[in-house]
Order: sequence, then C-alpha cells, then structure tokens
Amino acid sequence: MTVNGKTMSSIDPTTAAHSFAVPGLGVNVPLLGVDDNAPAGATNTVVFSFKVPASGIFHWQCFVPCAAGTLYGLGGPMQTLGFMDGQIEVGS
Amino acid sequence: MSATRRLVYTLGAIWLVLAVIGSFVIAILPFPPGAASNVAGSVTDTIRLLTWAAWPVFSLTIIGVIGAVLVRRSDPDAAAAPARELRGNPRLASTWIGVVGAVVLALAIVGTITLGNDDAAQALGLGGRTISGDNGNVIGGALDEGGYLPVQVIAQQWQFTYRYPTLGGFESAHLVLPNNTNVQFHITSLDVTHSFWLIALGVKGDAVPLHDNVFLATTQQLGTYRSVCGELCGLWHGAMDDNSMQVVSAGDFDTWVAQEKVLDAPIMKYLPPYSTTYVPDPAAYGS
Repeated sequence: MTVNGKTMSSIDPTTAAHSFAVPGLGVNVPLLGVDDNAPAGATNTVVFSFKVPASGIFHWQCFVPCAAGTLYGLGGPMQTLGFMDGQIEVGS
Repeated sequence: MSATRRLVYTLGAIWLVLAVIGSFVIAILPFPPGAASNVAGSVTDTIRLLTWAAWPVFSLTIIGVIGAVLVRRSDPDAAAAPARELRGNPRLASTWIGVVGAVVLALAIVGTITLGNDDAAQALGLGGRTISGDNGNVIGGALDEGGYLPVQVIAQQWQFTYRYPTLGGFESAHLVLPNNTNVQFHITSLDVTHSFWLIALGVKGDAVPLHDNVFLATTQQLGTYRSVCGELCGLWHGAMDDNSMQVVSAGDFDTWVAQEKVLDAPIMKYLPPYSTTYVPDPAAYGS
C-alpha cells in the first residue's frame, strides 16, 4: 500500500486512526491518522489493491475502536450501519 | 382370544421389531458433532446413548397411541374401562411417582457432582472446559508443560483471531491445528461477551473480557471445519462465521507456522506481549 504516495507494508498500530477490514476477503488495511499538529482539514491518502476471489456480499468494518467517548471506543459509529461498517457487493 | 387382546399382541410384536431394528439403526447413524475431537466423540456417544435409551419408550408410546385409536374405533366403549381402572389407583400412582422421582434425583446428584468438579471430564480423558487447568505456563517448544498446545482465541466485534504463544506468539486470522494433538484453548475477548464455538470439535467456550476461559480438546480427524460465535454480540454477530478452520497433519502444521511467522514478521514488534487477557486502550490509537 502507499500512504501519501509513499510505499509502506505496516504501520505502528498506535498511529492508526481507523482500519478498513473485510474479514471474508482477508483484507485488513490500517489507515494512518493525521498528525496531531496537522492543519485543519489535513488528510492522508492510502492506496491499496486486492483481488476478489468470488462474487458475493462481504462485510467490511473498522477494527480500530475509534468511537471516542463510548465504552472502549466501540459504541456509536462503531455500532451503526453505514458509519464504521457496511457491506461490499461483488458482482459476477 | 378376544379381538382386543389379539391387537395388543400384534402391536406388541410390532413394537419389539421396531425397538430391535431401531436400536441397530441408532448404533450406526452418524450423529453430530462426530468424532473430530475427543470432546466431540464423547458428546456424540452421549447423544447416541440417550437416543438409544429413548427409542424403545418413544416407539412404545406411539404404538400405544395407535393401539388406543384402533381399539376405540373398533369398540367405542372398550377404551373407557381401562381408563376407569387407572383413575385413582394409589399403588400405580405412587410407583410411577417413586420411580420417576428416583431417576430425576439420581440424575440431579450426578449432575451436581459433575458441575462441582469441573475437571471430572479431563480426569476421564474426555476434554472440555476446565477451571483448574493451568493458564499457559509456557516453557518452550510447541507444547506446554502439560503436553498441550496452547492456542489463544481472541474475540472482538466481529472477528476471532488466534495466537500461538509457544510458537513465537504470532497471531493469525485463521485457526489451524495439528492432528492428534492435545489443544489447550485460552478464550478471551477484547470488548463484549462472545462465545467461541468450534462445532465439529465440540468446543464451545464463552469469550469474556478480562477472563481466560480454558478448554481442552484433542484433535482426531483431518478436515476443514466451521467456527462461529455462539453469543449474540452486536450488529455483525452473524459475520463471525468461518468455514476455514483446519486440522492438518503435523508436517503441514509446521509448514503453515513457518509461513505465518514470515507473514507476521513485519508486525510482530507491534503485537502486545502474550497475556491471558488484554485491556483495550482506545486512547492509544492515532488521532
């Protein structure tokens, strides 16, 4: 994967703000958080690719407990469809 | 011989044949969960034994109902007589209550003793959940000092991952076990209560945050099996369903372990030290 154009194979988990994971496809991509001192609106662009072995509906979610202010960071958006989880439909 | 008596003899003969044939059929039927582990084998044997014991009673009941219908249809008054004889028969009632009460009491005593001594199954070599089983005193090599391969099952919303503390502590999203091996599952959770259910191996243990639930089983059959979460754990509970759990030969297991170690090498420095439980710290993650 590349982060802002720079190739990376892993990151320190304490710097991951979210992750994009599709357990059914073996995909688990940590998403590097922006620096605390970065200006407002700053983003990181993560590019990765994977092959889909079969058509079907796959569940995706963020595995980083990113819902600040909830129990263990796992409430709110982590438990709401369309926020930190959803479905991928792979056509034939 | 009266027609009713002849019918009773006929139905009795039919029941006898059914009971004998049924007993043989039950002895060879492939009851779940099978024999993929010693735990599954003991569960299967128990189900078979209970079915075998229940079948004669069940078939007798069905034959009795059919007989009563036939008698009633042939002579509408005949059925009333035996019913009157049964009603208010204190000897029959006390015998019935006494026998049933004794059976229930005996089963309650056996069940209570078994529950009180949770390691009774291990003493008999049947595996299962254990309270006093050691909590992973790793001394080197693949097996711990008890001759078990410790495998940690880590549940979180909504995936299981597996950690092998005696094999370098790597973590995998897939569960692979060597055949003919005593496995010591250490089941825990990072968030809410889950339940790790390895159906074919008869392994089912609650995954509770900050708790190390130990379950022993010995693999006995090569194959690919299914594992699911058995405790409603939130939105994607149903997604915790994996059909790729494998029991492989010792050689294939060693090969898989070597591959996983290579795959995990870049991230091993980020894994927390092996522990029987983990406390998630959301504040530690990136902004």
